[in-house]
Amino acid sequence: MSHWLPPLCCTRPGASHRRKGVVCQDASGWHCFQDRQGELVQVMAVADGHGGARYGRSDVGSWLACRTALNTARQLFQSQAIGAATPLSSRPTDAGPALSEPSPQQLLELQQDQGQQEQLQQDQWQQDQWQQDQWQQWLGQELPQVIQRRWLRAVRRHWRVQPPADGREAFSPLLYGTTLGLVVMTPRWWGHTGLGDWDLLQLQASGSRLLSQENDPAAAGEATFSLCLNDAAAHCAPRTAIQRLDLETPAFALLLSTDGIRKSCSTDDDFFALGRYLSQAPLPQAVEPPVDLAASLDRISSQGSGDDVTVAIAHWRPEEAWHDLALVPSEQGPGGPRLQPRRPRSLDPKGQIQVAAPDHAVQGLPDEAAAASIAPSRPAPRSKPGPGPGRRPPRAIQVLIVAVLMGCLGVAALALFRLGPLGLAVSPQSPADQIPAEKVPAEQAPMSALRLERVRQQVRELCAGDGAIRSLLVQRRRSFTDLRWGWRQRQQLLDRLDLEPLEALIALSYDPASGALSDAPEFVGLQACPQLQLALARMWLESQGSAASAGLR
Amino acid sequence: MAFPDVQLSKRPLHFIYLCDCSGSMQANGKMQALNQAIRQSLPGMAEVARQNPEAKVLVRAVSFAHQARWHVAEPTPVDQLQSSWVDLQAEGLTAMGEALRLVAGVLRTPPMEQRALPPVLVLISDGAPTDDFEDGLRTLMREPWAQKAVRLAIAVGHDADLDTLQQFIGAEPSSAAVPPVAMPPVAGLAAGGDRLPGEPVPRSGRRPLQASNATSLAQYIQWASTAVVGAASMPVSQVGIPSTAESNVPLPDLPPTVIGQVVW
Repeated sequence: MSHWLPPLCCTRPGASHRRKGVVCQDASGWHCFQDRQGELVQVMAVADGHGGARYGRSDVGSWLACRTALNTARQLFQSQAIGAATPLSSRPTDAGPALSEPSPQQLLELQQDQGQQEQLQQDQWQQDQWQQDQWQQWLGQELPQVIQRRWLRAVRRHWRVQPPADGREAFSPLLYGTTLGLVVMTPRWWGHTGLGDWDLLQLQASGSRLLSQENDPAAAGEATFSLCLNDAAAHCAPRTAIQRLDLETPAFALLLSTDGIRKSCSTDDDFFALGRYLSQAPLPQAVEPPVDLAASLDRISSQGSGDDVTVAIAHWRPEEAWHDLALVPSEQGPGGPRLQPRRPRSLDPKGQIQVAAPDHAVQGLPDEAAAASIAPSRPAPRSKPGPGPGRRPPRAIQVLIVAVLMGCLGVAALALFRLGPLGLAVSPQSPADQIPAEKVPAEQAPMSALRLERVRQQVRELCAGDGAIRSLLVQRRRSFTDLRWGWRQRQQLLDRLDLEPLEALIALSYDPASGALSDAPEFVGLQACPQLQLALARMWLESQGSAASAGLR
Repeated sequence: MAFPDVQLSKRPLHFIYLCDCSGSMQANGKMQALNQAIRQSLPGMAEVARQNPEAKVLVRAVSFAHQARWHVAEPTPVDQLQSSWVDLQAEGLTAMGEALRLVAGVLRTPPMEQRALPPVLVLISDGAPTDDFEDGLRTLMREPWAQKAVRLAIAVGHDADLDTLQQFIGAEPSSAAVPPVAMPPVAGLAAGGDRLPGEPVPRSGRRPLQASNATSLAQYIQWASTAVVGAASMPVSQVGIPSTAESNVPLPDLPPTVIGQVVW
């Protein structure tokens, strides 16, 4: 059971970054899972890559920081070392049954009982305090140390897989420098940790509080602490705090943001007002979300600092509880996050990480931040999994088989499939990838038999051609990229069937869930020849790189 | 629900000239060259401001001779200053310490905005202070915004007191003070920085810039007004390292030195 609403995360490229074609260096994400005792735990993270030439890969660094932090929190919560610690007990909320007027003897017994009760409560309080200290130490020291260690491994692996083109530059974690803010939410306590210039607001009916900000004089002005520093974990302790929760804790919201938000506000009062607006809780039975986060963040950046802007928002609602554990993810489409139009929202204890992807392909993710940790997290039936970084595209194996059968053609093609060192092709989550399952049916309305036959005719023409499949598809590279990144919708291409049947074929060949070649009946029924399947699969894989080089729109 | 009525604002970037107007500046056309250099730099600064609309570039100027006074007292948008710049006049002593105290007064919050970008302070002098410079510097550096500021100094001629100007800038970071960057446990890799071993360290503005003629003075003022303002305008964060005296804003490399006649 959880009294936490599923978090909402939104990351938007800054106005100045868009104008200058600089990639977004912010990242955010959240994760939901069960700890060893079966308690529902949620974690949300934001990270802000430093930007500038000296930190040329900080967009990857921030993205890896979020993923690593979310995965590490899950693994440690579920490991014996952390799970062995009993969660903080609930604060007693009931004084017990009312007593009638006692006799002197009863009074004496009562006093003894009360003494025992007080002693018990004192013992309980001391035990809780001890446990709170344990969790504080874990959150402020142990967790950051593991996160930093794994993040360093992750960035090194990324460097190895994507070395600099000229080969002159030496590896340095500085290139990936990033901040990291993390909030952990359990049924009985919540806490925050991290380092850098993020801010954390607590917003409730009685007022707003700035719970955490970067105060260290060494991090003045535009300077900030970073995961790439040797002593990064040590800088997390001052930013760590634990808060107990029980059913008497009034409802509140947490707003974790990168510095682009606060620096856009003239005063802290403006920041609080903005926080209250952005963190409005969805109303029961609401069809539309109360706030269009993406549009709001764009406005904040364009009228304010111009920096990348990110928020992660969570709500503690003691009056509501969720037992249904089927995941209903938030939508992260081009129009920004959307809440699902039904309540109550629910959580998936098996876990699904949602991390906004960096603006270019990330290859060679570490085990703990990629497929190894994601794979066991089977998504809920109604949510189609996106081809997040670290996911193995399901079509890759099929394509591999086709390639082997095709001999030398397959060998040549496979070289272009960007297989990672473990045979892992990693693609970023594009906005299109994150369209929730609920939208898919409308988007993929079945085509009429007549129209399908028109596409099938196109397939036959291509397969009967003189080997020009590849060049024909390359001419339509833009369609692949646009579809993959959500800049054009599938239906838009299908509507142009009569004019451009090849584009309709491209649309049908795309599986937004895997980011690769579709295995939907509509496409399979086209009976594309192996050469065409291979060429299409290759184009979908290459579309990652095309989008990367195209930069932001 | 409607967007709240909050004041979102461009981040102000305060650029302050501190100009030595002592009598010695009259010699060999130094004052004239300084006025000319500032005038010439304003269009470039305005262009940089246009390219970075998220920063609101506001210029002020202090002149110091017998006493320090505001030459441009109000934070003025750079494009307005182009038409309103009044030439500085040279006379008297070098009240540099008082000038620093004057600037310290405007770097307090308020009037400084909480969300301002690190200010840029450019001290231009051809001599040595004739008042209590140390006290002025202490007063200035007590202000957090002064500590965050990009502080540059231009020495006009060979009589300028370089030690004083270096004090204003702050200690030059030694080459050994590389950031303590964490390295994964992989042997054989050098830590720190993105320069290869043996690669020359680019000249930086962390030392007083020495202008020996009108051309180089104009060049340095142009650099401070454009390249530095551009760097300070970009909302780019960087690693905070307590043990180093690195500039709060990564300073762009200086333009190539123009080898010219030593006039001053």
